[in-house]
Amino acid sequence: MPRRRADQLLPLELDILASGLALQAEGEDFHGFLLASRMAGGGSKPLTAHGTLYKALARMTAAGLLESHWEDPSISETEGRPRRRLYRVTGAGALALARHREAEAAAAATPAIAAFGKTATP
Amino acid sequence: MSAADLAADLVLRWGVTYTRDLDAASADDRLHELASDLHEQLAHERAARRPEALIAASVLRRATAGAGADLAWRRDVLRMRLPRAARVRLAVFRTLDAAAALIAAALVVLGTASYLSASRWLPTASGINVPQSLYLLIPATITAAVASGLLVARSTRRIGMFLLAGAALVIPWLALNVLTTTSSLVGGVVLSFRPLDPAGWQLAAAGTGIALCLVVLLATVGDRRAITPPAPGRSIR
Repeated sequence: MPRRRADQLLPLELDILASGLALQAEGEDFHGFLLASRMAGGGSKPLTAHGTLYKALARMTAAGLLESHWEDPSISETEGRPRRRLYRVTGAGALALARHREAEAAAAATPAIAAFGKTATP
Repeated sequence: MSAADLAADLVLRWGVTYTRDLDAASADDRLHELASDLHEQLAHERAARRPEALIAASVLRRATAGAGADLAWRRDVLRMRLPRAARVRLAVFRTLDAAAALIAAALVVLGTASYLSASRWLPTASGINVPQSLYLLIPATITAAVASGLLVARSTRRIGMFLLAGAALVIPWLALNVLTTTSSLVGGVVLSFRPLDPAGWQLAAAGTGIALCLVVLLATVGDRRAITPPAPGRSIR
């Protein structure tokens, strides 16, 4: 399997960035289950597996596309639940998603490239 | 405890299993994140009044579907903790371990096949002495089988390797002797096979045994402690 380029995003990573930005637009940082739930479209798709989700989140955090922090323990204690690890899409993450969408739009606007993309994609 | 709670507990136990031997920070981060996710999922689905059995199935599906990624993440964390030289040594040891496992399987098959073959033909032949090699082949093959079982656990790997080295030294030679005797009864298959004459076959079998033994011994030498991360303390449960 060919190694992917450093700036190439996987479909799961694109989904994480898009869903993460949507959650941030609603005003808050997001935790893993909230993100999985949003990516599942409110039940229309199955929830992303734990291992797949958290491995991707760790990889994207290391790559600077996301940043994370553990919430204040007093909040979780008050609400009687485990502490959440909260994520936020960074500027680099938002830029990477925007660039990907631009590239997709440009490819769609050029029929030859779009046709090549369709035949090249398995 | 409901089915969903039981499923969540099982998933957490799986988490404890695949974070074992990782550094405390990585292990605790993952386990706390997993515990939080499970709590949120159970709360969310109970609020939606989904049946407990369906919640349990969903929790278990998420865990099983991501098990491969969990193990890949574990491997990445272990790799990142090791310097490059140690990673190369680790790769060498893993190759030797794989070779030893392959040798163990081959020896068990060879010993068993030789014994079964001899057992089938020797009793029907009149005036043929059962070769001493056949009696020695049995404990040697059992030793190889036991050794292959001991290779699985880290704590018994070294003793397993030594047992396997002993079995590797003798089984090819014993099997050849047994098969030589058997083949003389069923058409001289081994003896008539060229280019090696009987003495050449003996030499080849002895050489093979020594070579296999050396491969297994190579897998036992060296200080693996230097490239095996220490088991950290843990505070999640």
